[in-house]
Amino acid sequence: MARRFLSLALAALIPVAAMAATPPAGHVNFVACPILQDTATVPCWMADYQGQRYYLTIQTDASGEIYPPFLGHQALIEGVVSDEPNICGGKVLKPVKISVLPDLDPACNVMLPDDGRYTVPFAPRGPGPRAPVAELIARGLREAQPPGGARPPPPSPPFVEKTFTLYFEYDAQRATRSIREMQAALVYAEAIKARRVEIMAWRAAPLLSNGERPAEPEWLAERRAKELAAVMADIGIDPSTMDVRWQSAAVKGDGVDDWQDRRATIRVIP
Amino acid sequence: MLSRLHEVLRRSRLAWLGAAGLTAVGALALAAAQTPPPAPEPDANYDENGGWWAPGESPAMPAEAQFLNDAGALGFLYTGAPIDTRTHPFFAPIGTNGRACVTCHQPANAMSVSVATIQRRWTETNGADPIFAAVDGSNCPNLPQADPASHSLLLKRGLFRIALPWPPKRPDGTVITPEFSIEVVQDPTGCNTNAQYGLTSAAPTISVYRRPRPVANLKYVVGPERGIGGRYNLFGPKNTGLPMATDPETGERVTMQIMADARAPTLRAQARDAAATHLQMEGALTEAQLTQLTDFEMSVYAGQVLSNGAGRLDEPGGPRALGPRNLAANPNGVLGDNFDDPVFFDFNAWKTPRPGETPAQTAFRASVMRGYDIYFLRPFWVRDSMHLNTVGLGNPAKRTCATCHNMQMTGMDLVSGWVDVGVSNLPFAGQVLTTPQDRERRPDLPLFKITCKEDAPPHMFLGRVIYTHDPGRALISGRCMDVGSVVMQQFRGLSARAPYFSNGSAANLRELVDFYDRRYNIGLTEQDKVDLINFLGVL
Repeated sequence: MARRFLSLALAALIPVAAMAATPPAGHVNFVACPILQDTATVPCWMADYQGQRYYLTIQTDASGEIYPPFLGHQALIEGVVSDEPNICGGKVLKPVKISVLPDLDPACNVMLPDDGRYTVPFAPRGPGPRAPVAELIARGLREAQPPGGARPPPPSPPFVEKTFTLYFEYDAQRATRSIREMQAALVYAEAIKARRVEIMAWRAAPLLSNGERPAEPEWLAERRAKELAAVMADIGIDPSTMDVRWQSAAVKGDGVDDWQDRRATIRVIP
Repeated sequence: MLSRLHEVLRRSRLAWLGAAGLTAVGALALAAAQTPPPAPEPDANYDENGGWWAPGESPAMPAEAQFLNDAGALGFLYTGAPIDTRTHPFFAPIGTNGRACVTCHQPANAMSVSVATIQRRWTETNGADPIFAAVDGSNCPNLPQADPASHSLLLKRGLFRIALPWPPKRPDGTVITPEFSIEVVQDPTGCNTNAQYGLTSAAPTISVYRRPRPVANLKYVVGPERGIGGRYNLFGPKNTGLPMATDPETGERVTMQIMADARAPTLRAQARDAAATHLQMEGALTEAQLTQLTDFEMSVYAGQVLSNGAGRLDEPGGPRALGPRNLAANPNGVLGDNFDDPVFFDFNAWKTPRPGETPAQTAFRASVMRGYDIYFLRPFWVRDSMHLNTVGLGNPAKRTCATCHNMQMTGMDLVSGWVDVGVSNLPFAGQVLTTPQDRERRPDLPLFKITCKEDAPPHMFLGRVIYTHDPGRALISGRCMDVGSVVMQQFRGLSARAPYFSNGSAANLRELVDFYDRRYNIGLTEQDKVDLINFLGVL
């Protein structure tokens, strides 16, 4: 699987460093086709690397901490081998980051049927947002809201510089899981009447367990910065206060939490 | 007054059941009612042909009415202030082509317009009705308008031409640089390659063909009171990382679920767009007209109220989701894909036969309940659906119909945005997977080739080269990942407004169910399909 990823990267003229060091023990970073293992309830998502089957996550929904991968695509898996009992027959990676690679790979199409061997904890979905919320609270279906509602109080002086950090999936242009940070940056910038908002973005070259180091496209840091600036302007940041920068050189990871190199920051300055 | 009423009923064939004349039903206190008051008994004045509400010849607005359809009767409820439909901008022909909003949003058709109604209008008027206006009631304005073949998409599939600029523009008029190029591969209407109306014209335009959406039950469709949108809820949660559109007049974020491509952020914006295009209105709608339109639209409810198989659907103590009174009474903004607060509540009231219920009705009601169970409980593999599998479910995801059709009372998606289930994009919309009837019809539609730029995020399940009958939201956003995606429609009043899907590709509920069965390989039995059809038909 990693070989296919390397070929794909070369075809896209993305520089790939020579094989060198590998991540420290316990950290596994690899590119593979995900595997779906069905169970009686929801399926498990797995991936194989060097003869070992790893458990990534069960099927979730939009509220899930980890979003499952896609059949039809390879995924970059960056995880830590846990000593938890196996789940669905796989060694548990926890924490784990899953990046669905954008290009199609029809070879990624393994669905293993439920054969009764595995059971996974699965809670049926609870009630969702409802108006009026008071009705749900009265029926015991939702916790009572704290006094004043869930929205945090606005910041009070003295106002300080604050940085909000967003993380990206590999090769992704938008930080789709970081909308809370974007919204928080907006609220803070408005509350303190920010004099300047600095946006900075990076691209990364994570270290894989096989020593390869794929790199995100050269143009990606710039794209991330500009896309983020456009979104921040859309939601209310005055473009004239924004300073948009990026680092074109890829940040080289050491195999430990390399996902943190795929990031952007929003620095709100009073 | 009575003679006027009889005249109106005869002409419009409206089954008049509510308080006569200009009486409103504000006194019904619907909002507070959990159990609606008893509904009127079936009326002998039901019209067997359905009612046609002609612009400018309209009767006064009824508080409540019923219209027969093939499955029973549609219930129509108006909860607003009294209006005079002779001058109201929804009903009066305020444009230049003789149409009014009501032309394509007929009360008898759940405030959409069915292909059966359209065909009847052609026959009755020999094609002279304003609904067949050249601008969008024909396949292309350059065609000979007296020839029914020039209106084939409207007459066969209920589709109106939607002409959109290419490349797309932002609300402020600036041009969006699209992430893809578009080529016309198949142009059966001739409009996309026409020198005056097509992609290479002086004002490059892409014509797609879509169904009019029901202008009813809109409190479930628009926000921000629905719980999504508003000043501090800025992002569409479909995992795109993009903000929702803004109401230019208030600055509030909106739900983006009004139109197939969500190009109009508000009902006011949609009204302006529709007046200029569909009605060919000269000048702009006034503030007063806009207020009249939106007030009316937010006060209309439509749902099936009588079933040929199940009998009355809105009887006291009956299922809490059925009929227009329940649509008016229940709250909006409720997520229903859970056991605490299900999408259409429950049908337990039907588990015990009512006095006078026939064995056939009991059997039909049991079928409806089985259909609801399939919809709500039967898992299948939801696969390769952009903006569904990509929202955190994974691909594929073992879920049910109610996972995506999760909004209580309507079966829309409570989460704002658009989805691609394959109605317009090949291969799922292609000839291989369709019925023999579809094979005959599908070549009617234009086919476009979309080629995404290498540095653009692709459509995650179709890649960078996509063939589509309608690029959908992508014609507005310019984004590759949106190709073929459209906003979900509500499930209500289905029996009154066939055909279904944004491109009318399902002529009836059977074809709709068959599409999903094929698309997701659900493995429905013949009985399952009948049960699902019966369930959908009573909504």
